[in-house]
Amino acid sequence: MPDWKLEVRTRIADLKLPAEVKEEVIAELAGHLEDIEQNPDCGQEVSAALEAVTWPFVASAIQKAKSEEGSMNSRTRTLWLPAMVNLTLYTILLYIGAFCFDERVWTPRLSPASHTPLPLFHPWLVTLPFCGAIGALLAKRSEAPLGSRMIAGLAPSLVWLAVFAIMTAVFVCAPSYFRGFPMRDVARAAFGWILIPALLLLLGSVPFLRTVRVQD
Amino acid sequence: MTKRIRSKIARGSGEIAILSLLAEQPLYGFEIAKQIGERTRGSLQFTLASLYPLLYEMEKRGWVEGHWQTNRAGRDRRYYSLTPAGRRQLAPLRKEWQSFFQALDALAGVSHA
Repeated sequence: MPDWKLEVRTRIADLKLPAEVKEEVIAELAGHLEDIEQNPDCGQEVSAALEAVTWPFVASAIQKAKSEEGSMNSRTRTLWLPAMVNLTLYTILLYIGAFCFDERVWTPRLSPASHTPLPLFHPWLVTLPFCGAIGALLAKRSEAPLGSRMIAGLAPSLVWLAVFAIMTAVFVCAPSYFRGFPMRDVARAAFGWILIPALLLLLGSVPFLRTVRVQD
Repeated sequence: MTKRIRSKIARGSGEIAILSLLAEQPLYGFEIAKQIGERTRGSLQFTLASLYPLLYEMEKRGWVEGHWQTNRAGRDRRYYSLTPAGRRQLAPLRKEWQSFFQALDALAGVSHA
């Protein structure tokens, strides 16, 4: 019986991977050739299988697939990175707006005595569908499932939802921190910071939530 | 059809074929190729050159994971099993391919061909 490991090793000598990984690949490919040889009913001749392979192409494809470079964790690629880009863009646009416009009318704030302006009229809101679209698009391009695309699109509002959830918990557990802040103002600010932006982010995300695609 | 589109379709069909098989049981490379060939009556065939780069890519994406195990013949083989992420990927992929074939059928009547 030929030494299949040697046959494979000779053919993919140029494969640049850590020695341990390379040996594992060689053992696996050699095992495949051995199985072809041991199973004549599989419809393949081992010599033909060996010759039919364009080894430099296989080595290159395996190197690309196995390489650590660019092998970003799947969740990072499909969820965290698009969500962070969305959140960063959202924040930058908010600060640009605060710089260009009067901050008092631009920035929704939590203040007592119902001085909390709803961000409903802020020009910043107009930019939110764009932020949502960027998040969902990046997630879609990295082949994220529907849920991840939606989370990436709605990321800023989800962050604010978490912030308000913590605030509400503190409000309930230690109301002294919020002395002078009626609960309705918190709810009002939540409406302005979470619900309205979420709807606009979702509006931008919608085109990227449902598509028919053929996998790359 | 351009080579690029062909390649995308082949790759996509390979992914769903492998995920579907591994959803049933862990298999090693040769068995994956053999079962795909048998079940599709030869319509889909994987060679060593097409199978392993795709398996490694799917492993990198976190859809499958490989582990060495001794097979029935007493040889060490690298078995692949589906990860929870791969399992989650399967349903939307099936839906996408269903939509794809429905669209193609509406356009070209391929199911009656």
